[in-house]
Amino acid sequence: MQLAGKVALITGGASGIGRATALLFAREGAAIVLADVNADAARRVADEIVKTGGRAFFEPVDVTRAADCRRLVERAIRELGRIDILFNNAGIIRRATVLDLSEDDWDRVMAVNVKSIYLLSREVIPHMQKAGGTIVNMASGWGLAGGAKAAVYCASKGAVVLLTKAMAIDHGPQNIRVNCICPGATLTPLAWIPMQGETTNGIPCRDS
Amino acid sequence: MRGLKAKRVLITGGASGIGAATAARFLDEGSAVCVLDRDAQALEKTLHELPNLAAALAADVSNLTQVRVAFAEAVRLMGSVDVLVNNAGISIRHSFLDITPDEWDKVIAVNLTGLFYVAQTAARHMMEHGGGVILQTASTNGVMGYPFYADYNATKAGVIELTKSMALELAPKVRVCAVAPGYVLTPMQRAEYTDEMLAEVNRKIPLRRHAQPEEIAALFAFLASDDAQNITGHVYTCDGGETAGGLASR
Repeated sequence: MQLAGKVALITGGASGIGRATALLFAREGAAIVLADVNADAARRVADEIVKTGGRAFFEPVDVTRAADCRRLVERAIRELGRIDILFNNAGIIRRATVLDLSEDDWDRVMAVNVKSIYLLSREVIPHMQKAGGTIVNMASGWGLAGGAKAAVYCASKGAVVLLTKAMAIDHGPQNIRVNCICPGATLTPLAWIPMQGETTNGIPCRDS
Repeated sequence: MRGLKAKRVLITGGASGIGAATAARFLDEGSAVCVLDRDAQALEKTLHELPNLAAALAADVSNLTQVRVAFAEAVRLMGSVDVLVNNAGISIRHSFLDITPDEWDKVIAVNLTGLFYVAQTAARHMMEHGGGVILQTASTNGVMGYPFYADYNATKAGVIELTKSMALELAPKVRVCAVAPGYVLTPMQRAEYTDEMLAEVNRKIPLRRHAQPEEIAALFAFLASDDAQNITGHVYTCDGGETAGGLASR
């Protein structure tokens, strides 16, 4: 039990990497706060954790709205007293070049993938300042190298990589560690949205 | 960490600092561990502190014959080698203008040529015996420029490129990763930094401290474990946030 007594807030916790992380953290003893726009699926994850003896609740949240983020963190502090881990995992993808991307889609991807990290971190960090804490942001291999027909996604994940480094410098002295994860092709619901079958070609280990 | 219990691990430069801490960590995880080092005295001390070691092998990684003999001995003693921690390295603090050809050759011989000798010997064995994991000690000095260690920095940049190229050629049988420590409190560091220098460095690191050797060992344990089975060809940094911005960013 490496996370006994800790509280972890996970956005996009209803599916994919967020769900797998929530279940693993719960097994390691953490209480889990799940935030997602997909209420039904997130509630099922919370139920699964509670059923196996863990502690979890779900809050329907749009992480691009400041008021939602504030409400989420206030509830977490009210019910669990602390937040040790913030996993800014929520993300979306649009498979388009800049020529076929709508302005609304540009704004939406940047809001979910980047702005949400700012909105939530500014609510959570004040609560971490006494005991320290750790923030993990979800970036991507496409935040380090370009990919085809994913212009705004690449832009957003590149932004996450440098936002992470800037936050690490700012909040390290308060013993808040900030890191990001750059997964490659991962078999999640998000990976199946577009272009099935293209994802694993040319990857050295040939599985995902 | 998952999957380390039955693993057979060889660690070069294993008699001090990060190497010795890594040996202790893998022993804790239930692995069989051989350390290799050219410092016979330090080997004896390590064997005394870690009596569960399968062996403490005396060898100079810059000597190919010694590497082959020691590697064969590790295989004989443990049955095979599943994980190599290719960690032996040296550094000399000197200004670029003063580096002598001998000093240059010495640093290259251990940090790059020696690392290659061990890596190739291990990789040939692993490709024929069901695969494995090769982890190599690079450095944040292989990513950013730092004064007074130009030769060392060049070797560590070499380790990073070697790691990536090996990963591509040896996949999917053998995973190859590098670890890039920043400032770590090791004998190598204590030998070249005064307390005042250490404090000055700590002030510029976001987390305000050097890493402990055990924290680098933890990264090696993770990368060798079954939890890291989809990770190859990359460099993992543990530096208290130092290179997130570079020293001038504060």
